[in-house]
Amino acid sequence: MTRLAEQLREKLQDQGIELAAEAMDAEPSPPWYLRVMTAIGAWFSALFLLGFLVLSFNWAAIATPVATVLGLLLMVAAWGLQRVSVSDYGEQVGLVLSLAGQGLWLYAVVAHNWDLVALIWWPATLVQVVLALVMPSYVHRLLSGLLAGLFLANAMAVAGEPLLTAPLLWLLVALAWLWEFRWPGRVRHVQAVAGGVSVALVLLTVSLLTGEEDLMAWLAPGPDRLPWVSTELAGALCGLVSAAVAVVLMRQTNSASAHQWRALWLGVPVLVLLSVYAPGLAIGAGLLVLGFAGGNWPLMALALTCLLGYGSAYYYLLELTLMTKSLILMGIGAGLLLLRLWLVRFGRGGQ
Amino acid sequence: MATIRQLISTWIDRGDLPPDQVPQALVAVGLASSGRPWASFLDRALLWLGGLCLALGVLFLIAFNWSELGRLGRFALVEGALVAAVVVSLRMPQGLSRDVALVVAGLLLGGLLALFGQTYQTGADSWQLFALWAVLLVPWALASASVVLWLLMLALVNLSVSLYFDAWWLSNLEWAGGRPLDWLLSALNLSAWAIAHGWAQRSGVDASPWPLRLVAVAGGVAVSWLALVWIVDGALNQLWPGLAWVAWLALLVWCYRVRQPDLFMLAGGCLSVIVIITAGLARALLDIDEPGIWLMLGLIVLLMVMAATAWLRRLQRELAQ
Repeated sequence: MTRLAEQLREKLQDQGIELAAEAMDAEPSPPWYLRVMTAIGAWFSALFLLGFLVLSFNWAAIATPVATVLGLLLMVAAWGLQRVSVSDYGEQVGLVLSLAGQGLWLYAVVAHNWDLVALIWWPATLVQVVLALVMPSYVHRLLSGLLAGLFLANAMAVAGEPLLTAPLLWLLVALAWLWEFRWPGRVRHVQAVAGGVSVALVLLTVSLLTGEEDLMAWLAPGPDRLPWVSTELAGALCGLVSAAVAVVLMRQTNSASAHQWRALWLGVPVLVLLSVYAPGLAIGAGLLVLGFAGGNWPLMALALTCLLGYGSAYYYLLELTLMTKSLILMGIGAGLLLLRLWLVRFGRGGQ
Repeated sequence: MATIRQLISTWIDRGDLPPDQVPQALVAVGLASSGRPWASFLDRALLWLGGLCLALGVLFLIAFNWSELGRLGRFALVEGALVAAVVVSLRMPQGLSRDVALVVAGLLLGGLLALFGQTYQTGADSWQLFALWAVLLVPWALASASVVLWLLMLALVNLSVSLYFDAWWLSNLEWAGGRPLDWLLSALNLSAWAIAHGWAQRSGVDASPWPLRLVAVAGGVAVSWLALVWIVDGALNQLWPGLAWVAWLALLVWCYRVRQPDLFMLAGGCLSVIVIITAGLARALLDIDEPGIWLMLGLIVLLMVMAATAWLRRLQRELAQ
């Protein structure tokens, strides 16, 4: 039993909530730096083991179906190892085996027919979604969430519409974090996948919404973009999701004053309008608010990274002049400060 | 708060917390949105985000008009911003906002030096810019007692030393079994660690505040790199780099296992041991053209990681009681 666990138990008992006796036997989670140490060591040993496998077989002579089956077997072995192992070491070795298996699958596709490369992104996304659902390891789920987001972006780019990815991922991320505690038995699972997809969203926000329309431009370009989905529409959709997050959280507080609601309803259309030209700021602000709502400091740190990264990359956006971007940012800044002034003067009554 | 989230999430997943009482439990421990201090958060967030957007907008405006600004205009802008940052930091009480203002002022000082070098084409090497920048920061760091400025200064000294050796093609010389650059960086960062550790002890603060951890990482990385290069380059007739690494490790264990246990520092030491021993074995054995060597190395690393993890987890349980 740790001191923190005891303190939490007392706090819950004060509210009339009784924990099961076994709760105090829960092993304290290892701190992040211990996990990093274990991960680095595990990757070293797994790479040596893979080196042994690579040097032991004549891979050029092995047919594509064999590589596919071997890749599948490695992934199954990784799943089995992570199910039976309770240590961080087993988790990391399983991760390396799984990545090696996925790499072998990719090798099988590429070796078979290079023209299929442009089409692998949808199956690759599906594979990552399945892995995110079935793999027992927290780190693997996080990585699968991240890869699923990035592969989806490539798939949408090759399909001719890269700009819908960010609003879609932002919607999924917002739903996951708003409802993270609603699935007993699956809470840590949801948090891991949501964390990975959140990182993918931030990477896409900084690159995609500042003009890099697809992340893998060297692939076969695909058909022309759909004419009704523009950068402005994608930005507006991101703004709508951010606004919806604000409304849901406001309703959950149960104590907002009329002035605060008025500030929100005034702010929502402004937010949507501004996100048309600077959607990354709407996503970053939304992640920041979600992180604060759940006491999720890593998500808040990710949000700040998104805001700073987008703000820096915004400089290089070619669709608007530097003067226009300057005016947009100064307008957003002034608007936010005015909103703060409104809340300070009128909005304190509710809390 | 991250550990509270982990505990609560684990209890919900294991069924230790009754499902119908989860919403109430989240409110009780401060993880539900209704129990969060929204007023102060929105106050700070709107202030910082609004200020950041305004500042970025002004920077973009300046960049748009940069070529129209004369020499005087450019210096006036940068110096004006520097003075404003210093004035803001003087008016703030000790805390995060003051530190941010000081860092901004410190960075603007570097910007001013770069602008000076660019405008007047002094012909100075880049290491001289960073060295001068570090020297000029010293009185500010002393006057403000800001840890962040001291860390910035340490980073600048490291950078200027590295650039100096690069500029004079001294990077690949050898001295006492290692490179002079690696010896100098090790001595510099380990001295900084000793000073930071002494300061932490005298102040009676927590054993590992984040500045001390950063400086310890810098020292550990420097001396581990010295030993790693010594192994990889094969100058094994001279033992001094290996002895320096062992001495650092012994000091680390004495300070953070015997005197004042600290899991973070010991985890860093264990990682260094794993990397150095792995490098040594790889250097000795991989010349043998035999796939089984790779398997053996993988198993040895596995054993080292398992031993280190078991030892550190036992220590974690001891410290948590």
